[in-house]
Amino acid sequence: MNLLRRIPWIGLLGLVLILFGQSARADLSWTVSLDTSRLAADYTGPFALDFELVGSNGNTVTLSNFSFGSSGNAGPGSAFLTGGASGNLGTSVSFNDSASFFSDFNQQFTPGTALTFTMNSTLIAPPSGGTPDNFSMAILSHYETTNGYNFISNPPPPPGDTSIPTTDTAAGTFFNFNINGAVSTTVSSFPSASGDVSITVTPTTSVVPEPSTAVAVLFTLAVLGVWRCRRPRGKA
Amino acid sequence: MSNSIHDNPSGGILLYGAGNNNQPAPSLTAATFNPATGQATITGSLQAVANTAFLVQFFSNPAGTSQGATYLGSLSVTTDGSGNATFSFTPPSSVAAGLNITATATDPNGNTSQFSAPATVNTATVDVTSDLSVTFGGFVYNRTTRQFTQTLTIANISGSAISGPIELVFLNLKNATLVNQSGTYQGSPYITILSSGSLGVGQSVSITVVFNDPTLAAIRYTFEFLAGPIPTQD
Repeated sequence: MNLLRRIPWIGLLGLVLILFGQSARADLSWTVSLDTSRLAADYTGPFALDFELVGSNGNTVTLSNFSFGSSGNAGPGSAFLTGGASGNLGTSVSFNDSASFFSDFNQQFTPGTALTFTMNSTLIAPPSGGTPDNFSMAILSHYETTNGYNFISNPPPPPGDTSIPTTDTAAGTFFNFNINGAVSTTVSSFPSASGDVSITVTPTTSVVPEPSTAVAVLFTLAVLGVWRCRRPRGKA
Repeated sequence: MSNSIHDNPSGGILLYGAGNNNQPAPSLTAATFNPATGQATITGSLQAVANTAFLVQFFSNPAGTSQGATYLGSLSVTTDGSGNATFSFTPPSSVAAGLNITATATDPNGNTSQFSAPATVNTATVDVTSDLSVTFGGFVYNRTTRQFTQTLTIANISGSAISGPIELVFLNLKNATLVNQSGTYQGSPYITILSSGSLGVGQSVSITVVFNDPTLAAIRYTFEFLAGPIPTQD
């Protein structure tokens, strides 16, 4: 009987565990959208999407569900991969920095009205006082389709590939984020410097809960179920 | 003798003949401003009558002058059997770099010396690494310049304001060179993060560091913070 009285409190404890589980979730997900309707008119192609994961903390970033809008598409041409990058714009792209400080993906695309994709990242923070991993995106113009983006030449031979300027005056990215764990990882996004390519990065729900979160959910549901079945019925 | 004495063409205090027993003036060795504490330290010596206590008084003067414009304070100094004494004095109020410090010595009978030769207040260069915290941003590759950028946020976690200049010295920098360095210190590149003014308690400043890393290898470094001017020969 005492146990039955305590069951709601045990259920409450389970809910608290759920909340803790949510704050320690394993990764974050965003939807990225860019208005690319003026890209071909305002800049010189060919164009390429360029993504990079830089660091050594063992994070994984995955990009999927690419959509290029009306008259847009991935390619032509295949992807150029450096370090722990893999995949292509037609399916999905993945990065892992466990073995490589610098991972880069670049591949030509044909701009349509809008570019959207889903981005998912693990959230391994650096050791205390350390440097976080950083993930970033740029759009390359004057893209060299035969050999891909040239990392070495500084500056590149004309009309060598270069990135479209954005309001990120330091690094010229359309977005980048430092991976600092669940609480402190936020994406900074930047439109093109001329304002003709806008971008929105919208957080979505966590897709892979921590194992502790799943256990807490099952535990809570079980306790509440037992309590509901065994509690005395109130009189009418 | 804590009056303000300045702008006298003959030197402020002149002793003729055996006036004031020809009380010798102190000799100032150095006047050093510590940017981490905001305080100055004046060091010097006195050669006078043996085994006697003297009152040494200190004054600050605008650059180019050397009398007794602003009284800073005093301390008692006792000579040894050979008539020698050394002293170190920290004025209770802040003394800015560039001022000229002078001192007088007064014997127990009230005989006061002329003003000492001036010592200009110089800013020391001190290690303030433990007074500052750093929050590191990740390395971001600029596709146009083909260089890495990193944002650092530096906060004063000490209990007192730290006067500029403040420098961040990159020690043991591996696989990269520092593009926007302000100079080198003992062979290591540094960036001036605050050129003037001061970083108050709890205040922070953000800087962007640019690295050239043509091999794309992992950039590594340790660091230290210095407050005070970096010698130009370094």
